[in-house]
Amino acid sequence: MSFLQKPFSKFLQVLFFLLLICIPSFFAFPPNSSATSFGAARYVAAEGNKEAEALLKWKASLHDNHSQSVLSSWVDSSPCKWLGITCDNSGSVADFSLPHFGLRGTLQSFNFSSFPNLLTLNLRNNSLYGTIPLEIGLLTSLNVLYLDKNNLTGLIPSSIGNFRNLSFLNIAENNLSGFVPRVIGQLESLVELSLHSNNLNGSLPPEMNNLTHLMILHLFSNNFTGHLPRDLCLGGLLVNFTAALNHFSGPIPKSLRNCPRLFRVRLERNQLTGNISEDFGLYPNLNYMDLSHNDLYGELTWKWGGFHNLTSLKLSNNNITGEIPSELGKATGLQMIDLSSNLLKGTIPKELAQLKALYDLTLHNNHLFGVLPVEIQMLSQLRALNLASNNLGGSIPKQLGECSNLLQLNLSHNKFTGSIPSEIGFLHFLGNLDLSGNLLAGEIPSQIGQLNQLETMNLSHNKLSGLIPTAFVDLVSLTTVDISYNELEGPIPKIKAFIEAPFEAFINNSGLCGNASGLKPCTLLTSRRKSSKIVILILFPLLGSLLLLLIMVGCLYFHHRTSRERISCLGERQSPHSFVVWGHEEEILHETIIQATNNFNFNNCIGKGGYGIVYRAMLPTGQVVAVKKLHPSREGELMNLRTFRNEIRMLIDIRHRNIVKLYGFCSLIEHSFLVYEFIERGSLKMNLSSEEQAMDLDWNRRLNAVKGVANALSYLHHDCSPPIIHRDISSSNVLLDLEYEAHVSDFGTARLLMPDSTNWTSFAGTFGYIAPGTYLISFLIYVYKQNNTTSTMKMEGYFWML
Amino acid sequence: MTRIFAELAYTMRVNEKCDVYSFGVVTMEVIMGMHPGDLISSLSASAFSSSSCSQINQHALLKDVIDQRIPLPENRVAEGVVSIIKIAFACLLANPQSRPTMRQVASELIARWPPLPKSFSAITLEDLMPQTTVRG
Repeated sequence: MSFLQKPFSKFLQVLFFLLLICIPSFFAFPPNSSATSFGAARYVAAEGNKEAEALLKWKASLHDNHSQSVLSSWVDSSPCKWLGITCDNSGSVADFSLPHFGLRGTLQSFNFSSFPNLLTLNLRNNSLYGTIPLEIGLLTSLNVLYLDKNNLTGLIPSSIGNFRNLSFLNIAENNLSGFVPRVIGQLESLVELSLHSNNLNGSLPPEMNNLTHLMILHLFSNNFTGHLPRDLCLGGLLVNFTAALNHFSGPIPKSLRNCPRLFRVRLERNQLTGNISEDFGLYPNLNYMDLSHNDLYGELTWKWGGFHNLTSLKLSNNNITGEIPSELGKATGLQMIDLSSNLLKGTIPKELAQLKALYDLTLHNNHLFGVLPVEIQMLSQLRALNLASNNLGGSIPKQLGECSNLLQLNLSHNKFTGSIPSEIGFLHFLGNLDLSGNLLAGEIPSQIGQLNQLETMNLSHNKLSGLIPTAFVDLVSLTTVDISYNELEGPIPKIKAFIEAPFEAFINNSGLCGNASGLKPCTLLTSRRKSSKIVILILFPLLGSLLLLLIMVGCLYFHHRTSRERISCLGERQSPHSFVVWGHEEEILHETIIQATNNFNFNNCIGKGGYGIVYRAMLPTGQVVAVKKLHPSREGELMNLRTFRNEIRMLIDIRHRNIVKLYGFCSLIEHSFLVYEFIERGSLKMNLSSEEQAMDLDWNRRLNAVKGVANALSYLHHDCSPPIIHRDISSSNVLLDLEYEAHVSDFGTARLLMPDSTNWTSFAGTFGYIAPGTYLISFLIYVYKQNNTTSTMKMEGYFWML
Repeated sequence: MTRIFAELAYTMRVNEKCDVYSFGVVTMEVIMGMHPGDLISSLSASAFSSSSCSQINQHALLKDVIDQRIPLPENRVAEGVVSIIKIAFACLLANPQSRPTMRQVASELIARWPPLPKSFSAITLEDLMPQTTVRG
């Protein structure tokens, strides 16, 4: 009974002290007011003078200007009105509080003997240095001593044993060293003892077991050894207890088992031993618990339903055995769980999905098996999921894509099979992805290319095959990549992370190529194998663009026929007869193109349009491009060559994952051609018209293709300046790559044709895709330019429509 | 003729909305597996299409209109198909000003699909029509 009543009396004592602080004027006894007793007044004056004298002496010991200006109110002989000083009703200094004032000096010249009635000394968060003088023990009435957050050095003075009434002792965050003196056991009224963040060492004295009224005990970040005091929660009052980052060994204090008010417990990084299921009890108020990096064992058999307020549970790097209890799902306040590096077995209980607030689930380095439950999708707040180094199997659930806030995903070193779900591409905030060391097979989904915040990606040590998705060029944030030990082939993406990756990041694959360290340049062989697997076709009926080129050829011919000079090619770099294929250092002569197409041999032909033939051309670098050779000009309109060059350059500059890249243009008297990115699967129209290919185009791929077209057009309309209107969007102009990603082709050719793109005299477009009103315009143009054969096709459509 | 000129009045200038329309056509082609042809004319209340008013019943079921060569979409994919058709229909509105911009379309496609109002096989084309009615 006594220990239950005692804390209450302590509480009253503390309350009284607080009143003293809060209503100083009520208690203060002004020295110049008429006293009821002359004798008392004289006594008070004597005390006041003594205290004032001591304070002024201390003030004089502070040499810097800042401290002097802070204490500028300390001038006359009545300290009760000075900054930081509060007197009791007898006029004696009861409270000396100057926290957070930046005072610089020592306590050596402070005459502690002058303050027999001092209840509170609060100088926290200043710049006090030197030792805590032994004389501080003369403050025998002291209730509160706050000297934390200074630069005090030396030992804790043994004279603190005199503070029989001390309730709050905080000397943390200094540079104090040595042992905690045994006399600390005499401070039986202590409610708070904060010694953390010093250089204290040695064992805690067993006398600390007397401190049964403690509510706050902070010991962390020292060099303490030995055991923790066994009885520190004997009174059942302990709320905050931290002993982390020391060298404590031995058992968990027995009294912690019955410590119902515990709110925060941090014992991490010691060498504590004990059975976790026996040494801890039920803590309905517990908010944060970190016991990681100790030698604890046992199973997680706590009554988790009773942990209503627990937000963080960190038990990593212990020897905890058994399974993760499904009942853990009842601690619904949990936001962070770290059970990593233990000996846990069994499966991941799907009940964890009930933890709606969970943002960090770290279970790596255990012996967990089974699958990753699809219920994971319920954890919409999840930021970090680390299940690495377990024995988890099955496929990675596509529902993971629902955890759209994930920043870190580590499933490495498990036994996951199947393919990487494309839904990973939905994790738009993902910064770190590690799927290494599994049994993942199939192709890498191109959707991963959507993760434009991804910084590190490790897909190594799997069975991934096929090409690296071209969409990876959009991984703009990527800095570190590892795809070694797979069965990947083909070119690596031309982005910094890949090009600058060490050779080890690529080793043991089936045939990667590219200009990264240690990789061979992309060879003919690789590309042929690729081409044999897939239907290679490029589509192109581009009414507008070809017409434009015809005009240009005519124009250039007209312009130069007198000089008989060949016309230089246009590309990123300008030099006669050559252009640059983007991403390649060397310039490519137009002869190279002619050779690559076997002088435009029919065998290299992959498509035919009304105005040109498209050839597949393998450059000496191994890169495959599509070359569209134009028919010789039949007629031409004069056009400003410089304007045309500028337009071409602008189109070459456009880079978007859903737009076919135009690499360059070359116009000679005998040959004129455009060089485009080669898109493997050909046009959407062709894919849809073939029964077999249409069946490969499942709904996901179709939706994705539509998204790609929308993104391309949104880019052309809203992100280009000036905006580019395509004017000939049709299923023939949407090409699909190996990953069924859509690429819009022939963008801007209409613009090349008619630089004033808002002019009504538009005649680009393919019948069946043109907005209703446009037909009429086409018709009018048709009437106007009856002889312009280029309009015929559209006009047929118009009449058909009517 | 007056209707023709009314149409001309807002299509005098070729602008981005022409691409939006074409995008709608391509989208329907992807969903249907073939050029939408008559379906579009039945959707558009334009001067042109009204005259060739189609035989396609607007009460036709969506499941009968989409590409029959691949299995019916399910779950989230079905939601995606429905949402995309809704967007495509809006792109095919006769009045260019009523069509969304491509930026709006692109952001709609990034957003999470709304759940289906009813079972996929019960959805009719009419259910997917834009609310805005355009008068020729």
